[in-house]
Amino acid sequence: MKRSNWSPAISELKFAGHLIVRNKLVLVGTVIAVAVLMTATFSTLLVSPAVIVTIDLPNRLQPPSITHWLGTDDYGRDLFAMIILSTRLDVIAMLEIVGAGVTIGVTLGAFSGFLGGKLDEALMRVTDIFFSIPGLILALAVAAALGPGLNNLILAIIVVQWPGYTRILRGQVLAEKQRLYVDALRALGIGKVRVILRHIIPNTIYPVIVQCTLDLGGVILTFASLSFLGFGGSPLTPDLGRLITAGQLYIFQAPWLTAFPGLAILIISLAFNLMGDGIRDVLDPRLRR
Amino acid sequence: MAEESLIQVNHVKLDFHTYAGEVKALDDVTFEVRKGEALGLVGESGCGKSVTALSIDGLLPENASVTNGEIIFAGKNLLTIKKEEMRKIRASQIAMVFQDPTTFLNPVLTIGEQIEEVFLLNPEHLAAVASRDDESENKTISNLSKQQQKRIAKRLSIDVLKQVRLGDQDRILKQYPHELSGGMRQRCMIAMALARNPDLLIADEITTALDVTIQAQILELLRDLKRDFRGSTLLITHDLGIVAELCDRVAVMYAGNIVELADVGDLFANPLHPYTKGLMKAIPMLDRRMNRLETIQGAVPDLINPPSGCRFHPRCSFALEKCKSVKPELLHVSNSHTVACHLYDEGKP
Amino acid sequence: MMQNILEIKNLKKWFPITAGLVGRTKGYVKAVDGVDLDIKKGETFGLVGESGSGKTTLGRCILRLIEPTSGEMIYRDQDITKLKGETFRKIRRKFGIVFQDPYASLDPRQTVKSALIEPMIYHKLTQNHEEAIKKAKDLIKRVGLNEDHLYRFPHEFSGGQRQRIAVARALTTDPEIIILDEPTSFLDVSVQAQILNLLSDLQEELDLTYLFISHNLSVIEHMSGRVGVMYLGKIMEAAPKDIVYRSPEHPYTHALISALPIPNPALSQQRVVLTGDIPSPANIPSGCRFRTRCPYVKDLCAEKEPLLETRQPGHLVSCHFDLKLPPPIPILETS
Repeated sequence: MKRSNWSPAISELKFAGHLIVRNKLVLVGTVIAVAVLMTATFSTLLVSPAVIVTIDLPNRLQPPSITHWLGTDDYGRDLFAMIILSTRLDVIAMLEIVGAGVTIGVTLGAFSGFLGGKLDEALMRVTDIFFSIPGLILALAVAAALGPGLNNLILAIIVVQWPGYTRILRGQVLAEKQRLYVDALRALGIGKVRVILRHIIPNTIYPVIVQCTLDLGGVILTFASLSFLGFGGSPLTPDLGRLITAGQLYIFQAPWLTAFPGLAILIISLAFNLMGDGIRDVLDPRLRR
Repeated sequence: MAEESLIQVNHVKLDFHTYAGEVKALDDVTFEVRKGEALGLVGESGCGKSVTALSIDGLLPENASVTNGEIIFAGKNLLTIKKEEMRKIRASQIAMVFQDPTTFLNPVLTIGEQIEEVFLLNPEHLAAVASRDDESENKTISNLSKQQQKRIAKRLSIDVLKQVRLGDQDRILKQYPHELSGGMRQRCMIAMALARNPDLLIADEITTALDVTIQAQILELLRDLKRDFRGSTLLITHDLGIVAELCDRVAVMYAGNIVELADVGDLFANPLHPYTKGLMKAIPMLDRRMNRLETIQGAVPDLINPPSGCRFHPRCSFALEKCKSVKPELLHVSNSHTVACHLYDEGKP
Repeated sequence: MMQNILEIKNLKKWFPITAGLVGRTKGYVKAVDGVDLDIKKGETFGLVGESGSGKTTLGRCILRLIEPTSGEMIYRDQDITKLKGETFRKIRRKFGIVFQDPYASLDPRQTVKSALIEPMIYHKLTQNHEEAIKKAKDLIKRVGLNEDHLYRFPHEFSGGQRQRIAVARALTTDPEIIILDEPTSFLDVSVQAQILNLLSDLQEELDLTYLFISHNLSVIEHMSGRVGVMYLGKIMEAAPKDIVYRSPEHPYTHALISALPIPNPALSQQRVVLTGDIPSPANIPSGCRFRTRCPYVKDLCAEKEPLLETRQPGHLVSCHFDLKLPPPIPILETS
């Protein structure tokens, strides 16, 4: 094998890419996921945000047609445009939630696992408490406690997400800190904080990365569900859950108002799930260190 | 000691298929083990000595393929016979003892069960023992009940444990492998090998994992057994001290080839191959005083892309032009000493 | 100058064995059980022992990778046993270590260059980044590798090369003492020779002191000036190597040396073979811990533990009796 001058990470990513392409389902999922991300990023270019505030009552509750591909809602707004605009919010929320969850989880898990002692014990009991309550219920409770608003909803779901990452990383760290190179670093007098940040975390973060890609699909589902129930944003910042809430009033007259947003949630969630599966399958053998 | 050949390894070439490429583990391995002798197979890691042993005992992994050569034993080519036949040979003619007794011994069976199993696999032998005991009746396999077989097997197990100098045999037979120390487990492995009464005993680095004083015990045991053991031994090790003590002849391996083969006295007194010479100078020995050890420059070659010609030439301080392109053959320098090196072509000194 | 650079007094490291749900302490694994050791500046002290001897644990205690249970360690008149903080960090730089396993002692995600400059930058040993890199280049050449090796990752190197890198890394903090914990056990014989030569050369160039821990008696004999023999957590005998190898006075040393297979078929060996197995450090025999395997055992040995005493200047033995033992290896006559 040709001697690679590249970091072990890069050659692993190349191998990962190679394997993802081989599995058709994963490939489809990944492609759709990427498409969703692109849509979210460029949504305002695709569709004018003015659509949200444009009322066109004569055209309300129209079924899908050539002018309005997915029909119109009770304000006459084009559903397709609304879905595109809503996707942006969902995707941003999803990334924020997982991003924050991972950051908190990794930091707590790494320090707790490496330093051990009473702090570690306490943190584990705290995460135990969080685990004992089913995720959706917990998020609901926290969201209710925090009050209305999009940020509060996102915060609530972050609260549910972080313990999982903490546990995963802590487990990895417990094993990693037994490794000989950690002793070597300590013998050189390198401080614990630096060891954790520069050595332990980069070497243990793989399983967390895998887990968070698997979580993306689930998080967006949770977010949409709670938003549907009324938590989160306002009518001016629509998201897919909200669209369904609005649509359910007309479920018999205009079933497309609930069906299409629901389908969108399904597709997005599924796509990220498949992508996450692919990443996990690829990275899994490497997880056993 | 008749110089009759027990097993002949002829020009065996073996590759491993790996993700990284073809590992040309054995290039052209040729040697024989004679009846009643102890042959040492010496080399560093990656030279192919363990692979050679596995080839003889039919234990090669799935990704190995032998592309040339044969291993002749009792008129059969061990590389091509069926699995069933090989199993029979492993049951009573060739026995192998490994470096790590923990992986070899079954942790959920007692020592007694494992040793007795070896005897029970050989019912003809049990019948022969039974007939010896009771000469009035001619016992055959069919005459011997399961119970009688077990009883004889147990007795023979105790005998073989005595042979390996383990006391308190009854207690040991009831113990599980994890209850014994490393040295005792190694003796049990040797006992299981001897139980087969094999023609060939292959010992693969059996003392490497042991402490010095425990290794001493095993070496003493092997020295004593050598006197009583009728069969041949193939002793694989990287330790020249063990070779000097236990072996009659020695084969030195490097990167998949036998580079030198000689009587043990000859090899130590007059090493011919540059690698053998380098190896002997690189080992710190107690009876020599030196400030610096002489080293062999470079490192063991990558067997996916081994050097052309003589595989040792990049590290050899005596390399000739010829060595880069032509592989040297094992030639006799004397009756008992062969070497694969162009320096000795046509008997040149 | 033969002053003591490191003095170890009655060092103990006991690991508690817990049992039951509450975690009661059932007993102790007495890995190091009262070690007295003096290491002089510039020497190579060889520490030999089999499994359970505690030699590796001792090495780790000296570096405070493990905290000793009791006892003292004094480095140049300073008690480093419980030192903490900035003072301790400064002292730690004076110690280096090379571990046994070259495949595990380097962070696989770090380039060689990064591994070498990290300690220098962390401890602010150089003025700036460039100086650190220059020093790294210097060190990598000193251990026999090239400058462009700095930009590679550990997995691209062989075992011998990785040990060279480990040596270079140990030198980054300009240490005085280097603890070598079985540095060549995982290496082939020919590579071992290269590394041992490197270590000898560096010792001369840089006036280093070595604590060389190994179970390989030939390597210890080659590298050491003085040798200490450990058994079940205590030193049985310590003396200049010629005495240890040619005229030892402790029966364990005697058996250990005679156990070595000599690579010379012309010599027949009459080795001393000890009976029985090495006891577990969780269950150390009373009195003299070696008595269960000692060919010269008497009743006194079970009752009283012998002290490590100076028999002649520089020769310490821990045994009740003054045994006149024959040379363990007949060919090595006492000169």
